[in-house]
Amino acid sequence: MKLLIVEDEPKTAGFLKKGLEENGFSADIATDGAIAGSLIRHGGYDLVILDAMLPGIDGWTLLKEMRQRRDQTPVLFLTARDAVADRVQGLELGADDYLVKPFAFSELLARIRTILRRGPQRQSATLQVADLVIDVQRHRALRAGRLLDLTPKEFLLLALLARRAGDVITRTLIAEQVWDINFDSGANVVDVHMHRLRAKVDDPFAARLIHTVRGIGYVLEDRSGA
Amino acid sequence: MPDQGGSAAARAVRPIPPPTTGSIVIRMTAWYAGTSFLLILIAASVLYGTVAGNLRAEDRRILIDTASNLRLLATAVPVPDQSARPPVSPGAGFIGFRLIAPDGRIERATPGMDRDVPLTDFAALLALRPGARAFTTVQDRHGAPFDLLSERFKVDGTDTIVQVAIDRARDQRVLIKDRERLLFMLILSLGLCAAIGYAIARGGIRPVERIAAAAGSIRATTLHERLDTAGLPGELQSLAATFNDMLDRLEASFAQVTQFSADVAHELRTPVNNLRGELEVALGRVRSAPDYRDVLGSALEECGRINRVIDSLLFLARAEAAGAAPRREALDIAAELAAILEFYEPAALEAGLDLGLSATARPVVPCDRTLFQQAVGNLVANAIAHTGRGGSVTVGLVADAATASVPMVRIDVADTGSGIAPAHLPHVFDRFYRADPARSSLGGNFGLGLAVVRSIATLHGGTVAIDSTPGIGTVVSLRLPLQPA
Repeated sequence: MKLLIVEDEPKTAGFLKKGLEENGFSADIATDGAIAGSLIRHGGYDLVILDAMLPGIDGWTLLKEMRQRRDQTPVLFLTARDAVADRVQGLELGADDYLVKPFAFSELLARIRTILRRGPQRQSATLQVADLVIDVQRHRALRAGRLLDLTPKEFLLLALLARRAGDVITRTLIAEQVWDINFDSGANVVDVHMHRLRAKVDDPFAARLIHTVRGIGYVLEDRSGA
Repeated sequence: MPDQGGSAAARAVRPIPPPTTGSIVIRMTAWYAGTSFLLILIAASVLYGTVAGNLRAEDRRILIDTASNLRLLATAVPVPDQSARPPVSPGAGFIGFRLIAPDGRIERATPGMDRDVPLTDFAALLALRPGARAFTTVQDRHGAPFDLLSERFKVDGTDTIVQVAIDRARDQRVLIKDRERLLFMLILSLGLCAAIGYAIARGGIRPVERIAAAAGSIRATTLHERLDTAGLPGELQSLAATFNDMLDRLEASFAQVTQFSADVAHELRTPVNNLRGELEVALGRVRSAPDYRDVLGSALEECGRINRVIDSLLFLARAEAAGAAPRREALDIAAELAAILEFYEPAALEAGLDLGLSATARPVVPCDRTLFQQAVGNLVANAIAHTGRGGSVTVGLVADAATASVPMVRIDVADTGSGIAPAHLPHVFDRFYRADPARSSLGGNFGLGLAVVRSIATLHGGTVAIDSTPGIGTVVSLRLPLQPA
């Protein structure tokens, strides 16, 4: 998967490239609108990460030109402006998603993956990580063959982590997906929920599957073999 | 990145009535001079008309008297000696008469009468019925005006027509003189009225100019200055007072903004300082990978806190901007509260608290779901943070009939915590105000939580109030209208 990062701030472009490459993407950087335009015209990118404010040609213009050429390469808009009008403008021009600075890198990664996976998402009936088996349809979770006694929310939380096993899930995303709480409530509340889930999923067993990634969130993965 | 949206575009232009042309002074002067002149003109015309009318009436009375004397004395009057009277020149107040027989023969006449007022149109005279009289105005050879009375009567059974003429030239001259004098007076008064009107208008406008000059000299650095209302006329005193009130409000807002900027800088300084210090120390020595990871994680946490402050500040700034309106959807408030409490319940249990909901109503309120969650979430998080182990936090939902004007729902978040001293209560909804500086709230939002709650309430046309008894607990009441304003 090849991505183009259009970003005039070198530090931002740098960490984006580094982060994306470490997560299995290859990425090029364009630091102004003109360069970006010619790179995009030559094609071959699976997704463009586009900063709205650029020297020369701005992101909106670039996007408009792309869509006028019927270039349907997915575009993820990045901007420091989160006024609703700006957001709407970006999406109306044909952006696939919109992210406001400052953003969490894991959030960006999740959105890139969502855009690239678009289309019918395979929703498997059971998820398995190591000896943890989750039966999504019957709302049951088993570890080492033992049924875990989970509340409905705890089950949702575990299923969310398992569905994206290996990805770091932010607290904000957890609150949003599991409790439908859409504001940034701060750290502690989600931590308490995770603490209770761990007590049921990890504590009685030898290997821990839920890991805290400090400053970001949580990840469910089997680290025993690594 | 520069904000291009700009407050300039959003700046509303206050409607001012369309400007009428010219200066007020000129218009006032014109009106004043015009109306005064008109009044003087009317008065002068009436006066002149009266004088002219009186003069004519006097002349006619003389004519009538003379005619009746002539009738009485007709037979007795001897034929005047034609040579005994000097010729009368026009303008000397000549009064003359003649008696005319029905056959047109002039029986008797004042000398000069036939010369100055010759007999004309005898047929018309004959048409006069006996006893009738007619006035006519005629002119002599020189064009001098005469009033002429013609009367027909019988003297000793003889049909006679008498004509009496009076010279009006002197009257005319008097009237012309009067007219000239009046015209002069009118022109003079027009000038005087204009000058006085201008002086009055200027005098009336001067205080306004003083206010304008004072207003024009006020700058951000001189916002404390006020207009001197003493010596201003009553109408302008209210203007100046209004202006001063505006300055009061501006000064207060300005002070608030200044204070706010300082607060922002100060609040951000702490996390940035932590960040910087931690990273510096970490880089000062070679460390193990887990140590680095720990430092980086901590730095990321600090960034999260800074981020939340920025988000809250942006939200507050936007909510206060004119014209901000929340997206509204019909929310089942009781269900929303239950969901929010479910989210916070483990945190409350962890803190050794009892978290409960008591809903005596099931209202549906149109409001922004995320903002509603945030408002209630902030209140619940605050309550949990400020209540000790063994206490309780109760969220109550009631239909609020107390507020008469609009039906509202009231959401009370009550805790059995330490309470807030009365001195702090009026300020707890201010940005960055913390009753207890040593204590940060559960959400870690730097004393912005309650300010955000108030902003959300205001956005929805609602209110938020706080009541607290130290040692007993605190109740924060969020009121939201059932119908959008």
